[in-house]
Amino acid sequence: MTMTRATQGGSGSTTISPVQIGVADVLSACTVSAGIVRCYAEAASVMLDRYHEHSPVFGTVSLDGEERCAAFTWPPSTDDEKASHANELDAIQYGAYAVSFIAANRMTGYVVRKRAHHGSGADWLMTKPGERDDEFVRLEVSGVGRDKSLEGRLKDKVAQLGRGDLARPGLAVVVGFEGAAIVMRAVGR
Amino acid sequence: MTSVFDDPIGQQSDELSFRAERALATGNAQKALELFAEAAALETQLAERAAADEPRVRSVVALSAVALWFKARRFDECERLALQLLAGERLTDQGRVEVRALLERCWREGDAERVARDESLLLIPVDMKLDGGRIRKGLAPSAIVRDRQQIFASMLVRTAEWKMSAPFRRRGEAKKDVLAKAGIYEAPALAASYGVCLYVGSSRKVTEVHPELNAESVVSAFLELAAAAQATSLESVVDADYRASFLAGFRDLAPDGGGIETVGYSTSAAHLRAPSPVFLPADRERLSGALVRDNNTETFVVRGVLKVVNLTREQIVIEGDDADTVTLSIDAGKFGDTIGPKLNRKVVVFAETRKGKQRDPKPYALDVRTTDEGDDEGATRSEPQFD
Repeated sequence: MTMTRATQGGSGSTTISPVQIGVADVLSACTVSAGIVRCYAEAASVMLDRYHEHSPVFGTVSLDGEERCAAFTWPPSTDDEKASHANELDAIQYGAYAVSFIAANRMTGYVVRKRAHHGSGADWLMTKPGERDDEFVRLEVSGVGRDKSLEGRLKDKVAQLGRGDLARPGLAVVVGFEGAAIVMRAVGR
Repeated sequence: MTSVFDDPIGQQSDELSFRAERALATGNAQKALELFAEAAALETQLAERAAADEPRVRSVVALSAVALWFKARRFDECERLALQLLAGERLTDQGRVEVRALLERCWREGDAERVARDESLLLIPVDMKLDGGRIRKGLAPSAIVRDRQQIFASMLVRTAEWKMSAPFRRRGEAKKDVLAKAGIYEAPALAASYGVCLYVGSSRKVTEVHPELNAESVVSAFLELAAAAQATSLESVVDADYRASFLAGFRDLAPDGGGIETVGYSTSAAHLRAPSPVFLPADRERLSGALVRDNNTETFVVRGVLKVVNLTREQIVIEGDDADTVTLSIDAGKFGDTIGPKLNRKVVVFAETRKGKQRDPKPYALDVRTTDEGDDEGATRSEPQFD
């Protein structure tokens, strides 16, 4: 899938490939228990269905202020899935986990490995394939349903990583479902 | 050797803790505790398998195990594992600090649980964490903390009154029936960070009769009000007196950027799904702006030291640098929760002149803000006059 975007000078156009945020591919972005990840992926589909008529939808993903086009794709959610993710707060949180796992992987190459249970100031630990586990970095995730200031939320998440007690680098991610937008910032590198 | 991140035991542990969180979300607290305990047992096994040449992984998994025992409220196991880890070599320096902090929380929660059981109370913790500025790990200027602790406790009682739809209290202590539903208990501060922990307690009997108003609902409401105040959107508080009182309270608790950089609120009661807002100096400014009404009356500013607070006559007295004094009227009840700690401190008062029906115009204080929190003077005060 490609998109054409006019350059600012108007002298021509560049063809760019959007970052693929395929909810069904989330298992390729993590080694977390499949049962948990399936639940997160279902929640992501439910949230995207709530705000968009059908898959795919084009949005944006930015890392440290550099923005790229993103193509969000997801399998349609069933009535059972919608019912089991009826609590919007939980659906946003779980859905944001799934989307952030994929975005972090596509944009940085990291794979989510384990839940961080306490004190790290983060939700998850990630490593790069081939690197030692001890080189893990932290992932802190937040999600919003309707459009709000993603940047403001990102600032909070960056601050949270800063307050965390693991002296390791981190990646703060905020996912906006209505606007199909993901903002990310690397911390401590 | 398999990486502990890929170990099936670790995956089972994550799955169990995920199911525990789902159980909490659906109100099944007992099931959640059982699942957390199962997850903790597996995570403890996993911590023992971690390789010695990966010290950070070994430390973070061990810390996870302690945290899961804590979430399961299995304080004996939590303590045993924490002490074992502290006595050994398995933790990084940072992990050691974290395990110590968890151990202290474990002791505190264990004590609270025993008190609650013995006295048939429902006790719910609510924490206020102060950070940055003049706050150091485990050490803080006493004046900064004392003032906030007093306001924090007053705000919790005020929240209980608001939840009860009680008429706004303009002076004096809260009524006994409020304190029966939401008494305030103090817990020792934890080391390794500076925080004030209070417990809101209600008797089990009251909780059974008034399931809608008890320690849990008061703590939840307090945290929701804090989040709403941070967003300056307290529309849920219809009564103007309560709204002004909450705005002023959260403003005075908020950091000024000198003495403190962040003030965060949270509860460690895992079954309560309440926000955990963190206030920054910009929030203090925003709340101050919201407090001074934007209306047609002209406001003016008085600077000096707050020398007298007379809640009976509804007056305050400000002494300027030239020793001249200005007496200002205050609206009954408006400053009751927050003005005590400001006595004998440098303040700036925003005021307006109001005409009474048959009286001469009088100056009224709209907002009283301290200006000396970052100074040493704030910590050394003379005997206050409070009548």
